[in-house]
Amino acid sequence: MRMSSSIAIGFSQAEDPQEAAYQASMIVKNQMNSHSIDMAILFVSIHYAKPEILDVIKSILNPTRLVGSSTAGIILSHGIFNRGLAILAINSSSVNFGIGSALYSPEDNPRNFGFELGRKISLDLKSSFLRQASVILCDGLFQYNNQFILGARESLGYSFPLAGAFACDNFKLKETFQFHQKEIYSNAAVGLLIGSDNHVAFSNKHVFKPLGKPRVITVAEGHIIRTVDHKPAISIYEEYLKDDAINLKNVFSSSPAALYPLGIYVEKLRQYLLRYPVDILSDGSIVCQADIPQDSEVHLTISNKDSFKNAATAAAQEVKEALGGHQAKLLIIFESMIRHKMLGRHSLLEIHAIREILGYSTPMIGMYSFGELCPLGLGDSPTETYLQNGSILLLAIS
Amino acid sequence: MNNSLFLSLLPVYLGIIIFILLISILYFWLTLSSREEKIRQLEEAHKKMMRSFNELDEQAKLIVKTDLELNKAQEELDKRLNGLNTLQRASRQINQALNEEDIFEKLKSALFEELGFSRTLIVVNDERQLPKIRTFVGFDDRKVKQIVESLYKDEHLKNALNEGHSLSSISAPRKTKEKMTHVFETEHYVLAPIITQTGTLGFIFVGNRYDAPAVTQGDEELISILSGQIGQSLENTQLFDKVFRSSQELEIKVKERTKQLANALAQVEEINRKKTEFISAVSHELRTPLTSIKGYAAILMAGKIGEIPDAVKERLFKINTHSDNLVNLINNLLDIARIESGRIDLRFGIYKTKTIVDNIVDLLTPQITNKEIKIKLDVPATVTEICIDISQVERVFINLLSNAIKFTPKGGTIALSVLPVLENGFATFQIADTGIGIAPADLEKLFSEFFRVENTINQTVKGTGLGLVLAKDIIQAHHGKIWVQSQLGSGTTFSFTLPTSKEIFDKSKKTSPLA
Repeated sequence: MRMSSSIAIGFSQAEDPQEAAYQASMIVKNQMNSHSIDMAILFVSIHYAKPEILDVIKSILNPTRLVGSSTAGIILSHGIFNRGLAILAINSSSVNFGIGSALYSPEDNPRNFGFELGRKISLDLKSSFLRQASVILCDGLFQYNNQFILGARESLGYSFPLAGAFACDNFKLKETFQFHQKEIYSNAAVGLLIGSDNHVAFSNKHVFKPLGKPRVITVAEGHIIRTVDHKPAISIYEEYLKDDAINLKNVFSSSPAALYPLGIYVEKLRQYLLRYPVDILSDGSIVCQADIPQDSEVHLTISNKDSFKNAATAAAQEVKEALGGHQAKLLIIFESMIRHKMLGRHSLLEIHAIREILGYSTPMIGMYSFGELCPLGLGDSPTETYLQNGSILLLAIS
Repeated sequence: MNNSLFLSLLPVYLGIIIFILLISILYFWLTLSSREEKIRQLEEAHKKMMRSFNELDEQAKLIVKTDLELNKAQEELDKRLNGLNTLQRASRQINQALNEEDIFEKLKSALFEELGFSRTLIVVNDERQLPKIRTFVGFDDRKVKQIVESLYKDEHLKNALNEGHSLSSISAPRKTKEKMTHVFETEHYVLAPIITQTGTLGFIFVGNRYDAPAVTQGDEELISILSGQIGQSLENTQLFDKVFRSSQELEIKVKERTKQLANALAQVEEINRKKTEFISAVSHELRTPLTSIKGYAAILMAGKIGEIPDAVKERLFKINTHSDNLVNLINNLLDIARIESGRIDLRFGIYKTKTIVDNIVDLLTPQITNKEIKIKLDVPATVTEICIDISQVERVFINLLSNAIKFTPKGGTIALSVLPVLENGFATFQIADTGIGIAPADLEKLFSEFFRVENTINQTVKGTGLGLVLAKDIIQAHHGKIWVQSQLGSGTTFSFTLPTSKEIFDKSKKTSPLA
């Protein structure tokens, strides 16, 4: 069954959030030609993360389902915007969506948090539709991600592909927001389960290369690296950054550590998982976004603009192959905000490279994230989900 | 035998054993020394490899250092480009502002966020030269007031601003820096004065808290340019405001003066109306007794009530002549009054231009012949007809031609011509003489009631001073224009226009008849 659908994307940068929501909604409404909206995905820069925008969108578009996330930047086919509000609206007879949200509080078990989200989105999807993939948008400041992912996999199925992104703000990493129907949350995760016979393809690439001699994580506790080669973990950065190591405690996006994520070699994936240090403790331990296996080989990693573009090209090529000759009808991009920061005014080069491969007519929307969630592994259809930093994730529906 | 053989061979055996032993020892020794060599070699190789490894690691450190520098340079370059782009956009927007409020409306938080600042404060003095907060982002109301109070109390900071110096967290002296950080509760900042030609008008402050990257020299330059731009725009808006106010004042004055003039005009019109009514009433009242006087004079002159002496007859003749003049005067006054009050109904008809001109000239031929004046007529074929009230227009022709005859010396020339080109459907007639001409000062008053040019001819020939007024009124009633050109001693030319059709008359507006 082929996808019979209408897709619209509205965007606004109006100063007032309600005005921006109104303008973007009206663009969508005009493009949808009176079709009802089954699913709306909302990406907003932190300035627009206000509850009142949801009232405006609801009153104009009245989408059956809505999820969204705050972001450090919005990716559209005609440009990249650090400030703005974008709405993706879908009407489709052949694709169904299940959505849900889960709130996390420190006394909760992170695994239950993930499980709850998976359960809710499963329940919301009509049983007649074949589950294809899920997209999860989670608070970027959440740190117990292995447990969260494990919980989600428990409820959705261990081999079920999870994709998604960790929300961010304006590069400050102080507070991020998630949207679900008429609610706006922090410390939450929202999810979207795609049910369809259409092809859904993922690809995730980073193209960071290991730098210098290998070191060993000698003590790790969950998502905290205590020591590397029996020295405080921070020493790995101090040795390489010398004088600049003084800036390691800066806000993350302006810390030099953002340029050189830790690369942890995972034998079974035969690739490096990237981890950004999100905090540095007083004893020199490095706090990461997800668990770090003890005794792993670790390097500082490095990349450059050309490699970023190559990664985007490779991901697009992989998606194209995975779609098996079917034209992508919708492309969603989740990309590390650090790549955006490093690419600066060249950020659009990646987007051009992707569009060149997947087609200039394919509707496209994306957000810059603080961590990408994607199935990794060997073989044609990797199903084990990992949190990756510094990468680009493409999700295409044919 | 066997024993002896054994004994005899024993040395051989022993020799062989010893030989084998020696060979084995030699082999063992050789193997041992080779293994040691290998170990030594391996150790050497390991050392070499470790050295290379460490060297590679050192190279990696060098790569990181270089890469960091490149990244910093690129980040700064991106920031500068983005800043310049934002600045250009902001400049364009504030340059379009028409008032001060507009300028600060355009300087929204998005602009400063794009420049990389989360805190902004713009203060510009008001008309009383008191600091007025125009825009702030990242502070609360209370804090902003505190900042402004502290800043203007601090003589050092105030002087720095008044002298036009910008201050930043990278360029300010330590003490100033500490003071600024304390006042603004902001670690990374730029403070730039807003300067106009009249001096420092205020300041712009931008900054970030401790957890943001430090400001750069580029930031300081950028904010200084922006503050200069704001100053320039403020000056422009003040200038615009001044011009706008002057124009408004002028407009008010023009309106007031127009109102005064309209009132005056209404008064004049009212007076004129009353005058016309008065003239009309008086003329009617005068005409009745005058008719009686003329009648009685005629009876007496005819001798119907007895013969009268010649001296009396002569006086009666004068009474009759003066009465005729008086009747003419009263008729003219009545006509003027009727036309001006709109009580006259023009009876339009289409007339051949050539016929009208010929008839008029025929009518005046005796006077023309008497003074031996040459008359030139020029009626082009392009203007064949005019649409007029013939009885009225004839009076215009007669009036103007009579004047021309009166003021043209014997043997002079009068030219009556029609211009070949129509002006908006109106035909232009010209009556030119070679008479004594009119002084420029008199030309302006020529169409005023009872005005008569002071010259020798007028002193001898009587007139009412109403002929040209009547001609003007008749032309105006036809929606035409009348004007005069003259040069003393050379002659005078009267020109007037008349419609060529009723449609042209209807379409045209009644305007001032004097061109």
